[in-house]
Amino acid sequence: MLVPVTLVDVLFALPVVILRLLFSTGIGPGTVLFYLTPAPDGLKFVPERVQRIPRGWPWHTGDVRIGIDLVAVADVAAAIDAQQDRYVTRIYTAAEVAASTTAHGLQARRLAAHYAAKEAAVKLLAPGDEPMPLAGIELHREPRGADVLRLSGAAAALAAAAGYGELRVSVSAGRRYAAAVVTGEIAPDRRNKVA
Amino acid sequence: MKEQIRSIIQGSGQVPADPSVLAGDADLYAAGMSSHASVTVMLALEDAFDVEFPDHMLKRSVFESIDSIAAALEELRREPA
Repeated sequence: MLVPVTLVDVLFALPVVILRLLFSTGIGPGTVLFYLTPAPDGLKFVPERVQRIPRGWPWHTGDVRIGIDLVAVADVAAAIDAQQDRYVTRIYTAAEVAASTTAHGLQARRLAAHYAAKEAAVKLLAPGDEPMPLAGIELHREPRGADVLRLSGAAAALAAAAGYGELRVSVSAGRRYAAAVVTGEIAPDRRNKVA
Repeated sequence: MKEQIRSIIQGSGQVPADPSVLAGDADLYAAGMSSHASVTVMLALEDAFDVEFPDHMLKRSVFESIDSIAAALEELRREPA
């Protein structure tokens, strides 16, 4: 739907726009904003329903999603014992396996941290009934807790489709449990257009 | 097939409820199966039935009940090797 406007319309609307910019009120998900857009026969106001507030706007509050997961180290140890090769190669990347291996062999506690990070990310990327792209979610554990998630394949595609920017992860692994929290922010250009 | 699936789930030891008394359509996640447990159950099913679950089947609805697992295995068996 296009709404033709005149200069008078613009001049009357401008004070309202300025007030909203100044006080950042009345705009949020669900609000219909009208964007002044060039058209062959002049300027048109094109309506769009705001789904998420674009980053950088004065009233931007972000659209942050959170995923969390807790894994028992004993469960990971049992899976390694039962099906080591297939369990490891189907779920983890070579870098994750290398990072979880010491002179004493594959460490369930370390691998559990990687699994927790993957599942926490899945809760953001595949919240419904999407396939779980575990192998495409790779946790890099950096010194001093600066952990990083790297996505590839289906996981990267899901993140792009949902409009996520960088996912951030925090991981903790103890003797019995490993836990991870992943957060992601929807990119600023994901507004739904009004039909 | 469903009895074998029950046995595999029971053998995994990762579903707190007793799989032998669960209905075919009972929600395994509601019965206490964790996401990690679903992965180990999937690998055990692949071993037992000599199949491999493709990536598009690795989703919650496939592993949420004994009936849905049986349906997925039937589908895999029908597919040409």
